[in-house]
Amino acid sequence: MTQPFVIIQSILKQTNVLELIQLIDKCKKSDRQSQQILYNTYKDRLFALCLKYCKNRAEAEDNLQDSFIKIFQSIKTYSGKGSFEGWMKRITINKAIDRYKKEPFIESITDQHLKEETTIDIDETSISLQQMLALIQELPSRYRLVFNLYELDNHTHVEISEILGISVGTSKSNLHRAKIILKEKIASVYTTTKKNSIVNG
Amino acid sequence: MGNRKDIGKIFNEKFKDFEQAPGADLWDTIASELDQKRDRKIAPLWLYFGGFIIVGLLTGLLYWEPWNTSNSPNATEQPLIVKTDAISQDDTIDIPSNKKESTTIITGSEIKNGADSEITTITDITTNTNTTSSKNSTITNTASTLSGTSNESSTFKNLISDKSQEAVVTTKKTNDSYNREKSSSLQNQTTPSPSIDKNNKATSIKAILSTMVSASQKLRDQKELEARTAYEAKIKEELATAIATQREENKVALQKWQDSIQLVEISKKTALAIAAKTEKKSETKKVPKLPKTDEERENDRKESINYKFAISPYTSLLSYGSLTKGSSIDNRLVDNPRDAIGTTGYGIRAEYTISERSSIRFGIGVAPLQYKTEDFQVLITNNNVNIFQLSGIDPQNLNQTGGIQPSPEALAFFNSNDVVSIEQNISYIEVPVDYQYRFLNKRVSMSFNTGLSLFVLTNNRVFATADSGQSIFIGRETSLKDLSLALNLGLGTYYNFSKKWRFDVEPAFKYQLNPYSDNIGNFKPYYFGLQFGMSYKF
Repeated sequence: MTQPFVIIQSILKQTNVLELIQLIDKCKKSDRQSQQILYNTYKDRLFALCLKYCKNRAEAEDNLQDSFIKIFQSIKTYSGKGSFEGWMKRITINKAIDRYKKEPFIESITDQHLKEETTIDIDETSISLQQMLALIQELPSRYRLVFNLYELDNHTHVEISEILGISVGTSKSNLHRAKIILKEKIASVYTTTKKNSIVNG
Repeated sequence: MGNRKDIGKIFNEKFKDFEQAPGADLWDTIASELDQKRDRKIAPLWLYFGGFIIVGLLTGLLYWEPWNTSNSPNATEQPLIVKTDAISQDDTIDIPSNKKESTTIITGSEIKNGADSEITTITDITTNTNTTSSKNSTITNTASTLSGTSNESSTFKNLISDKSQEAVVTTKKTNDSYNREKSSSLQNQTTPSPSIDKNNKATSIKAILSTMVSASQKLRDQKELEARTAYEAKIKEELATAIATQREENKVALQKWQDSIQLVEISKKTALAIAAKTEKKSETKKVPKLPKTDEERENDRKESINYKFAISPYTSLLSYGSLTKGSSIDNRLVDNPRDAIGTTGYGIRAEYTISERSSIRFGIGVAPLQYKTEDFQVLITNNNVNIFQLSGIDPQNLNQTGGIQPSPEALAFFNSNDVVSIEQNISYIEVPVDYQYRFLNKRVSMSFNTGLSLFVLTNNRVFATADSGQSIFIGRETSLKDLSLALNLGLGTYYNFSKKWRFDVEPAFKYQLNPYSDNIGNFKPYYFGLQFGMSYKF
């Protein structure tokens, strides 16, 4: 019973791919309507990415705007190899990195930090996504970038060191520090939420 | 506590399918920015130029009023009159349609004339449309002011009616339905409706704008074409200039190259000349050559002994003697001391190589020989000198008177010298034919030579010599043959110091086989020669 479904799904996927190719072609010709369709298709996913990498919503919107402009300007260079969404995500992340990479950052990592546990025992469902997003956004920019790149976008420390122009050790310590901060904050949020729920009955 | 999770994992799972919509107006911002960026790509010149044209056209349109059908010279002032007429007669709907424009135009004309008071009046007209009487008076005043010289109402009315009719036609053309609707209620018509006004204006402006746009487009296209042509011409010109420059540069480069070649040639010639001079100097200085390699030496050696012919002039030290104790003059003198007198001969020899180690030699030479018999005791008996009685001497100093009397000179000589030496002077022309075998055939070679020589007697004289050195010719040897043979035995040593030249040292022993016709004293003559020569090989 699943076979026809898979075939149909495959056909649909292929149709989507064809549509996407046509859309990209039109965008390459700077067709405004196609650009808008492309924007509408990917804006939510890319904006989520921006939110994770940026300090706040306003900066995330700025970043999304810059990213889409960059995408439309350089779409002619997209060769068709690799995922188009991946290509757009890279542009978006790079824009965010450019935005915060040069931000002054004083690193204060001690050995004690590195030894600290980064695991926590909480009920994840009790903390909302927006709360967690806020926690990420509150991180110092360098920590936020490293945390996002490593934990949420699955880059290796070697890749991160190349992207951010830092050493692998720095990347690791930044990640660890980011996780420690997040752990502390999430524990605090969790406790507050729990108290509130108890109070509210 | 059994549900501990890494903080990163918690976030990862939470944000796995995270999506959120940005602000709704973000696309507009992006689009406008894209527009700006796109517009920026167009040459700003066109932008400014197009803007200039649009502004110019707008100004022109406002000045000429193409939407106003009246083309009379007083058109700018007439709408005001129409308006007055319309209000007074209440039979047209043109007032609202033209009111604003006419006001504006009048305002323009009034500004020109500097009549600010009338602008105020006209403004009043537009605002106080409910009071017809006041309007009439005001408009009349205004009209009279505008007409300037004439206050005749008939003239006004004519003008007004004419203008109103034209205006009606215009309005009807543009908005018939509106006219029909409005003609039913004249009271309402006196009050201008904003919607109608907007509608009519929009129609006119649209037409104007379309005209403007098309004109602007045409102009832009034309300019673009001109610019393109100019650009192409410029490019062509630049290209031509560049080609010409390049050609010029090529010429210069070619010239430079040729010059450099000439310089090189000159320097080369100079260097060669210097080198030649240096070589000559070095030759004159006889700079010692580098020692030759073994191979070179071997080659030289081979070359030095590799010849077909050799011509060898030579000189020789000769010593005459006898293998036996006998005397060629007289057997009685066997016990007298005898000795050879060293002489010097000379000759030339030709050598023909018949094999690697052997040659045939031919030659011709002169061999003067001297031999001395000492302690001959002179006895003079009755003026006969015993020396003339020796058997081997054919006396030459005897008187021809039949006796054995010597000549007075001889007699005197012998009277004063009782012991003399007898000297034999014999000369041969020698023609040797030899076979040469070189048992050492290198740069220094050695050979064994053997052969025969033909001796041709050229000199045969015998002298008596005193101790004082005085001598007298006494005769000739009697039995010496004019032609004789000799056996040659030699041992040559040669130094081939070059390919062409060779130094020869050759001791030779020549034993005469048949020198005498009658060997009276058992004399077996020979001579030994030590030849020194220089050979030219070829």
